[in-house]
Amino acid sequence: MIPEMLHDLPALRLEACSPEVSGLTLAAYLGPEQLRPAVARLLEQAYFLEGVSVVEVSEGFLGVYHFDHFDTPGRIALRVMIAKDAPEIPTISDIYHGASWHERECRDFFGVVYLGNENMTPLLLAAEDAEFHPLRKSAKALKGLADLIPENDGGPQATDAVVFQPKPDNDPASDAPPDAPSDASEVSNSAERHHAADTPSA
Amino acid sequence: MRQKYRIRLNVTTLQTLPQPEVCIALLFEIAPNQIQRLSTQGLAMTSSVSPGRLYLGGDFYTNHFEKGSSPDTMILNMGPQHPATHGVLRIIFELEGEYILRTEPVLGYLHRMHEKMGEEQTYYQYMPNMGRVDYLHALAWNWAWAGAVEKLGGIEVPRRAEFIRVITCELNRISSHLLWWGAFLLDLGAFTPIMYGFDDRERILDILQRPTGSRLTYSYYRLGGVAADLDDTALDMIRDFVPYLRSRLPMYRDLVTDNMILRHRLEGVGHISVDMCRRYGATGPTLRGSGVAYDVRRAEPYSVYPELDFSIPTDHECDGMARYNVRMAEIEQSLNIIEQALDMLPTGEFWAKNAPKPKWKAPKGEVVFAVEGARGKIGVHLVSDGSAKPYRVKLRAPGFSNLSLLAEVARGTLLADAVAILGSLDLVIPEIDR
Repeated sequence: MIPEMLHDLPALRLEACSPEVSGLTLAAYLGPEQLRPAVARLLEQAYFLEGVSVVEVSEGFLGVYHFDHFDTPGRIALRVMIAKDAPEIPTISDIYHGASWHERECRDFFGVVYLGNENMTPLLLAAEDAEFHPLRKSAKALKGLADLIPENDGGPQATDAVVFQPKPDNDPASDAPPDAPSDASEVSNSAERHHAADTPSA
Repeated sequence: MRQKYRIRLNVTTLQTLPQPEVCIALLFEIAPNQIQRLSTQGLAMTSSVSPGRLYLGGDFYTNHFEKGSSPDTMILNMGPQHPATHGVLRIIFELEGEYILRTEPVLGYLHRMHEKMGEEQTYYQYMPNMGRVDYLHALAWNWAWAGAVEKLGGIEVPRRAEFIRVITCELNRISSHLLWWGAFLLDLGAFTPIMYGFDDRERILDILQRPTGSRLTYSYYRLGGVAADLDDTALDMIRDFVPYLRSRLPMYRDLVTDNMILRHRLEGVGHISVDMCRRYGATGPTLRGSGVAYDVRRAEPYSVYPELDFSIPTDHECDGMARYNVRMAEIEQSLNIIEQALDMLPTGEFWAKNAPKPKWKAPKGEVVFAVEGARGKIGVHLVSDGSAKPYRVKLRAPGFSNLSLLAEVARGTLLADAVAILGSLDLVIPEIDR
């Protein structure tokens, strides 16, 4: 069941999940430019940051953001796919300040760059190992997203999985399903916009 | 002179300064005209990253931190080998007198890359790692891993095993809080309490040693149960221990909690608002010390906790004393839980007969499972591709999120208070570095 206050969360697709199966109540698939508005919306609704991580799949890097709520518990996962040749993702560290360390950790482990994070120095790995990313997988070991997350509980359905594939024209809003919130297209795609103030959160 | 003050040769940066002699003179307490002589000989320099600041070496992190600092302040490195950092945490401070302007923890001195090891080992083989993520509450991490895999694979846990898990995990929580209590007070200058704390903690280690076979880095839980049953001797030891520790708690209160020096050190120090907890993801006693009754055992009930009667202690003061009070009250609640679990402990098997075999392949899928550790919400995010090894393991350490708010909460406080704030967060560095 999707929580009432999150029906208008900017996303390509919202998928209700059963917590007994996956531990999630809601999985939201987002285009990179929807991430910051969605996260700002979650802070508005008093969600707290549980963690930021990355899963490397054959389609690219899947950025995973987990949030939960102090008063009405129910974990929410935001999922953003970014291309492997340009692993860049907007930071959320100015909205949720604790995300900064998580993002630095992801940079250490995967080499994903969080645009707009002012301090991207190595956190857990040594500074001289800045170019070494231990959690990257070999091409042989990589699996597709649909192989990892089953369809029936928050996973990408076979038809929808294509929503996530980064397009060369870098405009994921164009292949959003028709029922996706329209404000996705209103958000500027520019990576330079990194101010909490300009996030149009409904 | 030449020997003593030789720092590094760099005349060009020195010459760009407005008054480099004054900076150096203040530092070494020598006359500016002598510095003038030094600098013309090229024997002193200032930092290249922060113009105006005297260059005294330092590694990558110090140099990075120095960017943007003011020449009038002092940069101080605390740790990684400092007793008040509880392990090998390093913190860089920028100080104005005794007040903290900026601070930045430097992590990674105990980093072992548990998440990578998780991808290289089978589901059973990874369990010993869990005893080493947070060695003070190792059984909570055992539980987080076992619970995540059980959820993914739909593995049934016998009822007796669930109660054994509750009993041992809560005992472990008390031992963690007792060590925190002693070490925290040691940070604040009280030497005696740690002796009492260790004495009582030792009894818990003796109890847990019987079923687990180890005293610190437990690897006791298994997929679908626990490795060994609690025998009658162990149960008797636990039954004796509960009233014993209860009888000790008033002494703890008289000795320490009501102590005026302690209260002066903690009351009003390190104010953490609920909003800050939200933005940084702080959980556990740190959050409950800010008045939010959020406990994973209640919020996302797992195992048999819904059947047990216990309360979630909170304190609305948001300061160091509040976090202290919450932990002391939690010891009592854990004792209540243990007592009830002992009464309810059913007979039966302690490890499911049809538990997975060592080379068991988990079904495909993704699962997130959380438990309440002594420091907060422990989470395991597990992604499986259907093979015998996990595809991705993400460990959510509560200490990581709790420590990340230090930079904000320590700003403007006294250096001595920063030590009190650090202690009140109850850090375990191996958990933060993983």
